[in-house]
Amino acid sequence: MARLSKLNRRDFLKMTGLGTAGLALQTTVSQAAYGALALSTQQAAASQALSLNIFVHIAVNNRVTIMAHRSEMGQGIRTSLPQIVADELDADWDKIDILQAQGDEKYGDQNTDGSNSVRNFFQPMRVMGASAKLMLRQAAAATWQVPLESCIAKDHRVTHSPSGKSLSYGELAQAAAKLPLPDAKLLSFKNPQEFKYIGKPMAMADFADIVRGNTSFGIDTKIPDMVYASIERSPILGGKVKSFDASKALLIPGVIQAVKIDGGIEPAGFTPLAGVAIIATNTWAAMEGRKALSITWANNPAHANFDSRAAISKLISAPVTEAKTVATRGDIAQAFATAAQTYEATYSLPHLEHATMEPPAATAKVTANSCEVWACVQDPMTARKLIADMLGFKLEQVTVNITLLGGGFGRKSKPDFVAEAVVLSKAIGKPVKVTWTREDATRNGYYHAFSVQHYKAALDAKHQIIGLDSSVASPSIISLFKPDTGYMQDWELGQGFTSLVYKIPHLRARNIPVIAHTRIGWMRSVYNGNHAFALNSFMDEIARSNKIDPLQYHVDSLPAEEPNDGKSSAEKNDFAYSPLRLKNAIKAVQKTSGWPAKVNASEGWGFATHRSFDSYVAVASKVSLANKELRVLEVHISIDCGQILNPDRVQAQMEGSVIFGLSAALLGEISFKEGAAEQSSFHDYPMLRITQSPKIVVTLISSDKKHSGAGEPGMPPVGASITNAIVAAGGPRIRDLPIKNHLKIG
Amino acid sequence: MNKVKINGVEHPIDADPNMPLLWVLRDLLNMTGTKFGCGRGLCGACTIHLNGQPVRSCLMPLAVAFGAEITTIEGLSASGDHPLQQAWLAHKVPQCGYCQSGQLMSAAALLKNNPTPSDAEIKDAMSGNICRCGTYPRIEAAIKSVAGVQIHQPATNSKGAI
Ligand code: FES
Ligand code: FES
Repeated sequence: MARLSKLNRRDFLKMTGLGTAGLALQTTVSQAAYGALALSTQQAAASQALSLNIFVHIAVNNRVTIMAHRSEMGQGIRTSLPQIVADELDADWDKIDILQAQGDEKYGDQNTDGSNSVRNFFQPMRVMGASAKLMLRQAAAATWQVPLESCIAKDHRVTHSPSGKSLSYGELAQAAAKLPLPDAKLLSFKNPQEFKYIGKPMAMADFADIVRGNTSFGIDTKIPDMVYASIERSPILGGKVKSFDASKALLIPGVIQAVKIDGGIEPAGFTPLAGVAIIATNTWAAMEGRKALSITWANNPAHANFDSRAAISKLISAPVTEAKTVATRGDIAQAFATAAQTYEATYSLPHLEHATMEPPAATAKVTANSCEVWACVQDPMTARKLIADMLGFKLEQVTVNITLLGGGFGRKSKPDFVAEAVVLSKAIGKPVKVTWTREDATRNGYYHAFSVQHYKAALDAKHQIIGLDSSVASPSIISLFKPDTGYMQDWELGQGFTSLVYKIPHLRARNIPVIAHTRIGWMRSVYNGNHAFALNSFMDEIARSNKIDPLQYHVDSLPAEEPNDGKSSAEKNDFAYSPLRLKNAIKAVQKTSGWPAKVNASEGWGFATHRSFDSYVAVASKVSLANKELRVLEVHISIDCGQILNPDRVQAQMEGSVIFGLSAALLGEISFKEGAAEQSSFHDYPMLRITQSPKIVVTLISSDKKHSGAGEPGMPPVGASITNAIVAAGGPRIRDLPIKNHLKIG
Repeated sequence: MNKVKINGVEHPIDADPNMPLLWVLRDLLNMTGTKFGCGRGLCGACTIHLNGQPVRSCLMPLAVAFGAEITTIEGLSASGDHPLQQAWLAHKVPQCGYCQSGQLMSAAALLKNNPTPSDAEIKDAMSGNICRCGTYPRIEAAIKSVAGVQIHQPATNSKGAI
């Protein structure tokens, strides 16, 4: 039976040196904390383990259970954080079970978002492993009555070196678990040369189950007495159900009842949309019942006329009126007065939807004084708080079980689908699983913001940018939570619009307000993708119009020196902007692509680069326009994301980011007409297919800097690398995405 | 009662004959390895074998399965060691894993019908399976590594039926 963990919040903070990093730790590990995923026999044995701290549990049978507290959506985090613990623990990887933690603040921040997991948890995970190892050594020293220094931990055993006596971790677990948590000052950590798992391409713990179809995603949950729901939701933001007729639906075999969901609150946050749910004995009957519903909506006239293409066109053509200046440097008027040449262009990108392969799905069981949910959530703590608030419960009354996520990309950070299951379970007094259809996901998403950006550059006689006057118009994510002013947040603008990597002495950046008419949400790389597309296109246009090699133009536009902030290099923040690291990333793709490479007729290379999530990425892509059809032939991508915990997963994230970026740039568009999304499924909102997938060459740059993001930074430069290549191949300059609106995609 | 043979085992099924096999498998038989991605034949997440041919189970009514042999990911091999399953592990193909049952079933059907496919034939056979995580390069490499290797017959045990 799990016993009390002795790690309290203060100890944890002291040990990890995290201070007020938002970690709140409780003192106990309850048996319930083990119930997150269905326990396999092996795991069930491990759950009888003794806790050395909240992340490390050791059973007398010598199996070590490591808690995975972040959500797994393909990035491999369920494997890579335990790699760190296991390494510092000197455990045998084959004797490790990984158990998904429930949503609980004792684990610290579980919001798996922003490419943060390794950045924030590398050191805390080392502490967990190292402190458990020290306790095992202390237990051995006490058992043998020998000095601690003579007890060496290695390969899942502690050995007394003079005598050769040794005990396995399982044999020491009981004694170790009785010891107090060691003082943080006593912990010692491995040197990087001693790492056994950190930095190694370990296979994801879930691979074997995945290839056998033996996994449990949110959509796979089944609990006793559960019924199935499918919900017809208001297609327009803020819409409410005026009246509905479910009589035909109720005739369909398997349909049990119809339940109206009040909703459509604005700002929407994560509250349910208004709609009517059909409850049935299986998913198909619920979906069929839904088709037979007739609903009259009461729409919010403020959103009911929204036409996104018209809105984007208007912003492209309209003169800037209400703009707010969000960044300035030097004297922009002076720059234009002395310019040898000016250049100007406007770019736009449409709304997008995440299109996770597993649509949102959640199961809830609400009783008079408890609520338990099973769901594919990226942010279990937010889901737990939302549910507690909805039901008037304390957090302790709400249990959030995190399943595997069939893709996340930011969509599953928004637990509106969990809230729906809770509302329905409470209403009908039974456990309910809500499964979204593809149409639901496409039409009722939390959309990536559209963006219209205008750039005007003043160039000197050497074609260098001496002044940049820019504006951006893009609905803000804040509109989801607060009355909408139309202005973007500083952090949104800071994703590549106001945070420029180039040496530009004079600049003015402005933000034009746009009111959101749909739920705006964050999607992989968030605003970085929009800003990187426009700026990289603009740089390319200037370079080509002056017959300068575009890649070289980027290099020449970067500062020659590292920024001098007056600090010695030892004090320098590892995350401070480094032009040198960006140049190295550029060099890497220059090398693998052979830039400036020779091409056949109708072929061309394009380049783009971007720094985001503290990582440095460069992309060079080769396209063909033969037969008037765009084919992406090769994409070379390099990343410097500091030290690398699991190179195979970083490589996989780069491959995935390239394909995600290509789907967006080539094919991605959600458009709104009369307030509603026009697309519904993969036929009109297509994703890149294997026949369109290029050769991808990834370079991981080795670095001793702190770990930075890997899940998102690969995506932003992809789009512009393609539109730039199209120009090189003799095609048109495409300033408005997606490319499919301009060229046939092969 | 009508019976359906899945992974070698007969299952009596009392359901609307129009119910797509996808939901028969997932909701009635608890065989959740076969996934729902679109319900319209557009993504391939629900791919199974019907008499050895790959089909989209979201579009295939239960009635079609009466008297037919169905194979799902749970029955692709007796102990999860189909050469493609092994190749998937060797190439570390999956990311989130959600599309992978469908990918494997499409790939297995391809190699069964054409043990030595060309690159174009591989891409063509896999073009109905979307992977939003972008595992295509590894899927292609994994299939190529197995192409030409002897493929087992699908197992006829009840491993997947819980
Ligand atoms: S679920 Fe059947 S093809 Fe998409
Ligand atoms: S691995 Fe996630 S959709 Fe293919």
